[in-house]
Amino acid sequence: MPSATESKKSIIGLRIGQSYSSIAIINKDGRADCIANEDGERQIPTLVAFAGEEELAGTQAKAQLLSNSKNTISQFRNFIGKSFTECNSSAIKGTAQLVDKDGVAAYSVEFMNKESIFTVQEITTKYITSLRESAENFLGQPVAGVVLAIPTYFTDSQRLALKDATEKAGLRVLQLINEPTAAILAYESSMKPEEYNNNLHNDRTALILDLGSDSLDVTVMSIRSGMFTILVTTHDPDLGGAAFDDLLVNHFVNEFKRKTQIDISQNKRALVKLRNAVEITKKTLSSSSTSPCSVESLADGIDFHGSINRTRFEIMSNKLFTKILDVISNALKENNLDTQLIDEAILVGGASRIPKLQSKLRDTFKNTITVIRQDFEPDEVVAYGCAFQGDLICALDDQMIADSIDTSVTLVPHLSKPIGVLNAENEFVVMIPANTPLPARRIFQFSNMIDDQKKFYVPIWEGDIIVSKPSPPTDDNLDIDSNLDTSLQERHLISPAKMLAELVLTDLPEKKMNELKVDITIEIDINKKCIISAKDPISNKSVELEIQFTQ
Amino acid sequence: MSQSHLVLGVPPSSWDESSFKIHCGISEGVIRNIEPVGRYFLAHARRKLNNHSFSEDEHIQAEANAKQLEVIHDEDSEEETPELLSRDPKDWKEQDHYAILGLSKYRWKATDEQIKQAHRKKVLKHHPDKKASSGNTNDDGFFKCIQKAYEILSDPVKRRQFDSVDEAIDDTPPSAKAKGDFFEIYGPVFEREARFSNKTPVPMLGDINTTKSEVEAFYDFWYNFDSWRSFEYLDKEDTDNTDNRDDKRYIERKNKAERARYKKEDTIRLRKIIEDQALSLDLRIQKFKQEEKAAKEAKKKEKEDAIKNAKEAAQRAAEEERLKKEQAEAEAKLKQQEEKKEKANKKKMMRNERKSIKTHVKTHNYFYPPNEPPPIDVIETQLSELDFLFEKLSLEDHQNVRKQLDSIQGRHDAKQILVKEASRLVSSGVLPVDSIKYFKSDSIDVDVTENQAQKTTNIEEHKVTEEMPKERPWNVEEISLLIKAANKFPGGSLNRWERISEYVADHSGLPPRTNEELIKKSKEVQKGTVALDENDVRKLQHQKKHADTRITEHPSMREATIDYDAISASTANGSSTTNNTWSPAQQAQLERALQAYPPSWKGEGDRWDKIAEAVENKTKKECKLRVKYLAEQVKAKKAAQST
Repeated sequence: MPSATESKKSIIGLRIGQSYSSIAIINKDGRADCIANEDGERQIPTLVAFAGEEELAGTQAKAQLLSNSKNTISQFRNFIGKSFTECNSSAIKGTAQLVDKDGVAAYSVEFMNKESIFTVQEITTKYITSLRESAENFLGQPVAGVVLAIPTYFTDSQRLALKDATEKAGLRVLQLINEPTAAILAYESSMKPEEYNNNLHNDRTALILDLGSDSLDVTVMSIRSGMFTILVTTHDPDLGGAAFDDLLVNHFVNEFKRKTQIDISQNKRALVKLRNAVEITKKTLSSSSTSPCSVESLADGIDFHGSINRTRFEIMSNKLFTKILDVISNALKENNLDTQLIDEAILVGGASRIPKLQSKLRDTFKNTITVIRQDFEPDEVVAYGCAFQGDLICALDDQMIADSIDTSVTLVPHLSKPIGVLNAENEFVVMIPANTPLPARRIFQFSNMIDDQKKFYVPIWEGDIIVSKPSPPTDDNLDIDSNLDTSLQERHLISPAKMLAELVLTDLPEKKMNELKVDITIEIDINKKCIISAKDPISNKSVELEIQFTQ
Repeated sequence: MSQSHLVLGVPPSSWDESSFKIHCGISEGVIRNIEPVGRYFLAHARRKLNNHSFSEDEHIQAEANAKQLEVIHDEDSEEETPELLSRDPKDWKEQDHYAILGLSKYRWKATDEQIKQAHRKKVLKHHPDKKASSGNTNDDGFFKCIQKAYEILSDPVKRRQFDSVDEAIDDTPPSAKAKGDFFEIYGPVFEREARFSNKTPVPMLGDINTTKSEVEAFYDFWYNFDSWRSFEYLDKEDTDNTDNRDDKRYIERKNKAERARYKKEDTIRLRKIIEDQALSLDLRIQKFKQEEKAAKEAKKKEKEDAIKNAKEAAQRAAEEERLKKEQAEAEAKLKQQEEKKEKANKKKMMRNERKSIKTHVKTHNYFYPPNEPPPIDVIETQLSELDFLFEKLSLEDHQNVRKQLDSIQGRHDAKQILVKEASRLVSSGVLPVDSIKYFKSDSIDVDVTENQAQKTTNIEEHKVTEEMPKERPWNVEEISLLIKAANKFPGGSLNRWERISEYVADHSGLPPRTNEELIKKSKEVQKGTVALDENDVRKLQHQKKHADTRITEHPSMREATIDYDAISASTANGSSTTNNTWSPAQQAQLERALQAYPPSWKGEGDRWDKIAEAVENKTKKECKLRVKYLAEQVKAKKAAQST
């Protein structure tokens, strides 16, 4: 009997950023989408303000940043779960004072005409509560659960503290996932299953560049059969969108000084005003070549009108680009990874929109097949990933989720070197690439080289990576198909290093060229027993052998 | 991806006949953390937690999916008749969408998934491109039918509309006379109707053993059935066919009315199934009713028995009572009879005594010396006085007097006895003093010398005794007047008692009292005011009442003689005065006259004229009144005696 379509469980994906947060849901089409708060903002400022007897959060709190900065709290996310001594209070720029409350970091604000002290966790709870209310206003029903994104560098205690704060805000936390993982999941989940299968096992290595407001995170992740393993992750707290803002602020401070002979470098109020204006200027520069910057009554009642063109900005921030690229290359180098092994680079974070950064990145991967992807909004992609994950696990109960994310399940051996077959032309065909989590199973179908081929020879090899061999330069504008072709060429870089075993399948039926199909299966089970088999599905003839791992 | 490199060659020439050779082990892996996200990770976690290998897990997953697939595989068997294939897509309103998609055996039970799959299958089979490639004409009629069917069935709203009027489902209620098992007939009916319910789950008919509460819940649900069935699908005209707004409105209105009509019919139909058929045919309801009835009857019987028993007991009691009463009555009657007899005896004896006394008097020659005939009037007086005496004397007295008279011879002695008796009666107040004249001791008998002294003493005694009754009894009016006067003339006022006496006499219209009388009475009043007052008040009330009843008791008489009425009223008020006007002689005359002229007398002239003639100084009217008065007196006396 047809029943009215049951309203989908309202699961949200939540990313709490250092400066901005976003809430994502899965809409009716199965796509992830960010929802706007009551003020129409999809990017909700991570701010909490106390004004008189009111508690403000998000967009409303942003207005207080200027007029009521003493009672406005910003940039608090990274302090959660930390003791007072661990917090770098110098990072606070003209907002509420960080104080020590029994060793826990807390903010001192004036609330209800009284000096009040709120711990970072309490502030976070207040903020998340406001986000929850926004989500519920949008959905028109209570939020059933949330998947939270967290930076990879968060410690266990920070993760726990954030989870507690979220639960106190009245949300059921289904899972916490790493921000880069969420980003890559957003890309993976939006892929159709057919697409997935056609792309062989969709094994890729991705570099996720998360250039947030005030930190740079570089993560290299291997994707094997839809499973993600973080290979490298680095974190630079000094690089980020704020660093670009600083450059622009300096630039305009100098310009203002030149124009009016007024030095505002010590005028905190003027700097906050200018910083707010510069943020917009910077965003505009990503899409247009020049961008104005105007601040009414910047200092001494004098209005400021200035502008900057993109070239000037790029020259100014050249140092920063270099730094960012250095972070990437260092991360790769330290982990014996080559840029050529990176299949795609995924840009996350608002600052990653800067055109010059993208072109610099392309330069870095110039001689590789790397695809730079920013299909999704860099600001929102993390939240999307969370929403996808929430949608996936909302039907599971808490115990099931807890069991699944237990280290006994997640912590598994990964194949260190690829295993493959040498084909008729002595080319190495990788069947199971390196970094594949075990247990794993791969089935490839091979065909006969010549007519009436009665015997199949299957040499199993372990590969090794040859980095030095450069691959022909590729055009950035190549479409996906050609990229896939080049990805094959990339695999040629991996050469067979060690023969593991040989297999011969005999007495096969006589067939024309390419018409006899033989399934080659490599399965490594939980006990690290590797079984390799060759089978003709028609005649049911098969050979099977077992290889052990070396001690 | 190009397949070129997925090619395997032949073994090298050096290869021996062994099927495989193992050279060395795989390099040791690196332990890393998988990010616990994505559906592939979930599959990994499932395998890991359940310790399943890939093939095992696949097997389990396949089995889980098998059920759905199984259903869909079945559908292959549904054949497409040429009739179905040649359907005109324009007649989509008439087409059976389920049959088109090969789901006719599922109909409204088909799941969305089944519809989707069936549609896909049909499209693959009947796509125009495919037909064109296989050389058929590009007749895409059936394909259009498929698309239309899917359009309807995949939209929950449209599907409901179609399901509402699905002609393939027989919604006519089963015949009320249909023979067979009730549950077999009506079970599917309710199952069929349940599909329209907005509320789920829908209670089902159940079987004979279903409990009463469940059955009641079932009927309750169906009485208040909330149906989503609608009849838009039957709309004859489509509003989209016209651009004219008025036409559109008209059509819309018409359609709406039609839908409402269908809906009403449907509600009636359902009502009929439930009320007229199921409820009346339901064996359980009958069973419950019988049980209820039996329980009720048992209760009723119990009640009736109780009533019956009570009635019988009452009857018995009544019978007993009646018997008792009868007995008592009989006894009372017997007693009465005896009394009556006794009374009669007494009367007889009394009469005898009287007779003998009178004879004695006669023998004594009416106390006159022998040989001297007594004058008639003396004899009359003596006799009438004797009658007075006799009236007042009891039987014993009679006997006593007679015995005394028997024992003595002398006429004086005899007379003395009677005188004594009369004086005794007078002194005790039974006989009015003035009624006895002759037998008074001082009655003029010159010849009587003997016992003179005794007589005088008697007289003196009489006088003394007569002094007391001379004091008139006080009536209420007088007492109240006395109190008033006493208050009016308080102690110490001049000639107080004389004035009080004057006042009382003036206002009461009675002769004045002496000072002594007044003082005595006033003292009495002072002593026991309340008692006296109450007594007197009651007396007064009684008197008044008596007078009133008397008047109302004889309304006819009142009408007949108005004068008489006034007189009788005066008699009631002051009977003593009227009474006093009759002297004993007159009384005796009257009595004799009455004896001479009894009511049965049939002489010439009026009876009462004769009587009046016989009585001195009395008119006819006065005589009548006197007789009446006496009759009343007698009657009252009798009544007093009987009580």
